[in-house]
Amino acid sequence: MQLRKRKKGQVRRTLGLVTANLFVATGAYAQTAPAPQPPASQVGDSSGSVLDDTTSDLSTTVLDSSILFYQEKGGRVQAIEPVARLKITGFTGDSLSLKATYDSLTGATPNGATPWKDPQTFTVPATPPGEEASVTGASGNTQIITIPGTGTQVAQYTIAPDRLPVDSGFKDRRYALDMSYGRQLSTDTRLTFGLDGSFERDYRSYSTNVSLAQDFNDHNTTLSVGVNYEYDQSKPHFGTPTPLTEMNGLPKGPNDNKSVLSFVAGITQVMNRRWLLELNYSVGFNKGYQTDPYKIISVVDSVTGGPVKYLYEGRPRSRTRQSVYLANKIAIGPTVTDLSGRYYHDSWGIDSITGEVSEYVPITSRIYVEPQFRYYHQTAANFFNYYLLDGQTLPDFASADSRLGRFSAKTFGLKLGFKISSDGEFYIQAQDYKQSGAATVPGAPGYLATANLFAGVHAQSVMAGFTYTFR
Amino acid sequence: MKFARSILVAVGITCLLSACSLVGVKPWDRDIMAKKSMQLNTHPNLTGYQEHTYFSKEGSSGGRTFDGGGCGCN
Amino acid sequence: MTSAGEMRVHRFSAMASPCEVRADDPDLILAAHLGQIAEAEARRIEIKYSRYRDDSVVTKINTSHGKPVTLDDETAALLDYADSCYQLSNGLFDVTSGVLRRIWKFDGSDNVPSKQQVAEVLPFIGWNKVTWRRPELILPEDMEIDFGGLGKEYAVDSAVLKIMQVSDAPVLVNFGGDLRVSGPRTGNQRWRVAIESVDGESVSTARLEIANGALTTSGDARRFLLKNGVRYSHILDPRTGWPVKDPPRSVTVAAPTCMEAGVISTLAMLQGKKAEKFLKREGVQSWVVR
Repeated sequence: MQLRKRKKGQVRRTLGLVTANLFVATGAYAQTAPAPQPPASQVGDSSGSVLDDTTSDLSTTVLDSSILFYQEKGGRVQAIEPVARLKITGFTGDSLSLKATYDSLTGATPNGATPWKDPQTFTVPATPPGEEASVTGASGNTQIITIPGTGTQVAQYTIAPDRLPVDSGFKDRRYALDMSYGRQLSTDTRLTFGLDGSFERDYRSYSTNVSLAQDFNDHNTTLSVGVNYEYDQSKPHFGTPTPLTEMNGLPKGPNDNKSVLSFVAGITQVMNRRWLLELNYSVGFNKGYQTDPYKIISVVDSVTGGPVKYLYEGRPRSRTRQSVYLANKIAIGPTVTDLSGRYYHDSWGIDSITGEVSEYVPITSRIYVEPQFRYYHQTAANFFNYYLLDGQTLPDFASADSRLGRFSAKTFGLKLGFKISSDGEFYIQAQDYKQSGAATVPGAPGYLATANLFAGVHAQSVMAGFTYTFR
Repeated sequence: MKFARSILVAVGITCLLSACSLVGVKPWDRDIMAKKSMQLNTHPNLTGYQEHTYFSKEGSSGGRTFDGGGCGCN
Repeated sequence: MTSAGEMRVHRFSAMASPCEVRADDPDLILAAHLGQIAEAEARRIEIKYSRYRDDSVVTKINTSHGKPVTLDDETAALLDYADSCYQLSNGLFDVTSGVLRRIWKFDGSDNVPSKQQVAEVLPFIGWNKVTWRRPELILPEDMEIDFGGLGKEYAVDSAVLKIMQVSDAPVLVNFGGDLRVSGPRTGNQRWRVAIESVDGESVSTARLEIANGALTTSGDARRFLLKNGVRYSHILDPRTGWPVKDPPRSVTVAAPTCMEAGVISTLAMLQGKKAEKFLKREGVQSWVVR
């Protein structure tokens, strides 16, 4: 007849949570007269649409599975990424979340070199015998040649004139697993612990995080703090090249790694009945190898702009990143507006601003649409250059990776959701993402003054998924 | 100077918390807040895709929560 | 409205209990208005959830003969709540246990049902036999839902919340012994509450002072059966169909809301001998009379 052996005060605490939930759901409805009962054969909706659902997630299992199709224009990267996520919440509010991701990428990616009026040939180490041919690096239209007098085999690929040099043999497969456990220490306090792992042939990442959230003011204010530690191993297919040395087909150096320690502090505040606000400050410290081992930078002639040699890029081993993020959810009539912004600054000289807006619009009692727009702008890293000039002293760090350059980007998107019941929903989202940047820099020599050096992406993606809550 | 700074931060947080107590709603006015469409992250799978894409193609990352679980994309 | 000292008391009868609303405010019109709000809410909930009314939601459910019933948001939320209570009490708190009323009548006589009678009614008890997929409920034929264990407490909490929407005046809402205050009295004073327990002829009174939250009292020493010198309490265990052994005469629990206090005091009674131990483990403020 006894209750199972439980922690002290567990019944009382759980009951507190459940009672709070009850009055969230019924508080406002206490004002309305009881709804007329429809015939028993009807399912769902007796008072408003299924979209207005306020059901709690206590004692539920949520399954959410989705797939992403991503395609960059111009034969660049293409990716497919299925994801499955499971979240089990007990009636105490404690929860366990598991997520599995598979990511498959193919296509061409810029190698960092500048275009030229003549064909350009790039030399990379050849695929060692017995290894898979599909590795990041050279394949596709590459040739294996033997360096005369040495017997060493290298691979080479050639890029047509007036084309942005890309490495077209890019193929990668990634698996990732994420786990998160949340525990209600009391009605007002929640502790979360997470573990993540991401695995590719040439890169492994492990991370762990802990965070604490505390409610104040009748659950109107929530303060959270968290810490995350990440350890990444870089194992490039042919070893790690020494930064700013000449590109060649010889085997490279040993694997390298980096670690990241980051902190986030945030406040979530109910401003009024219709407006929820979130403000976060984060800071992160990266230490270790942060260079892209496959990217190069062209050293060009200071008159013609033609390539003299290619060097492997090199980035600093330390990076401090900070950001301030503000998000708002505002209910206006039947719609909900999501307005958010982020300011970012790091020690590599990159400053960025991001602004996003989306509008959730119910169309029928089961269908909604959500148009979205995002604007992004970043300044260049202080070691970013499209090219280096021949004869100049070599800088300590240099990269021509356009992801570190100065550009802006716009995303236009549309999400559509169809609720089959209060527990199940199909959703689909399409987005167009386009980066724009200056085609060239003032003072670019010769050919480069009129070439298009900007290697930003223009990508389209479709994401579709289905989520179901089991009670 | 460092000490003065931490005092300032502590005072700032206390002021913020006190200011926050002036703002908010009574429990029975949380009907709209409780709606699924008012959650800060309504579709975690989609948010995951977007964060991953932007992390791979841009120079900044994170801000929302953690940028935990990195991949070799940047 | 009658006045008790400097405070107006609004009295009425609802849910088969004497009810009162005390408002600590010199504005008599306001005090009367707040009393009426609480009374209206009590009546609304009574009409909606009374077993005895043909037009109630509960009757609609109990006469559905196993067919699905679609429920409104408020009822659905209450069923979610009942489900949570069932889970966290391991089946002790069960809104389908009302059918035991058919065989157990606690009138002080010796009409204890036979083992066979109890065995026959047991298949019709058990929340786990109900199919609850919000907003649709399927209650098997011959089973019953009874909000008796939650209704009064829910009415108290709802009435207090409704009053707080319109006024900051400190109020005490008391429906048949289940009470809640909206906050301390003016001047940060506490409300004075008397808990009466009747044992045979003697009446003992405990006095409590509360500034916040709710109080409920479970138990009624007058309801029992006596056969062959064995006393059968009216606290029935829905899992066995039989009374709990050695429950306290009464349990009074203090909690932030009336519903929480009500569920905890019910669960404490169901612990029988171990009521005090349960309450101590849960860390709730309580008073047990044996």
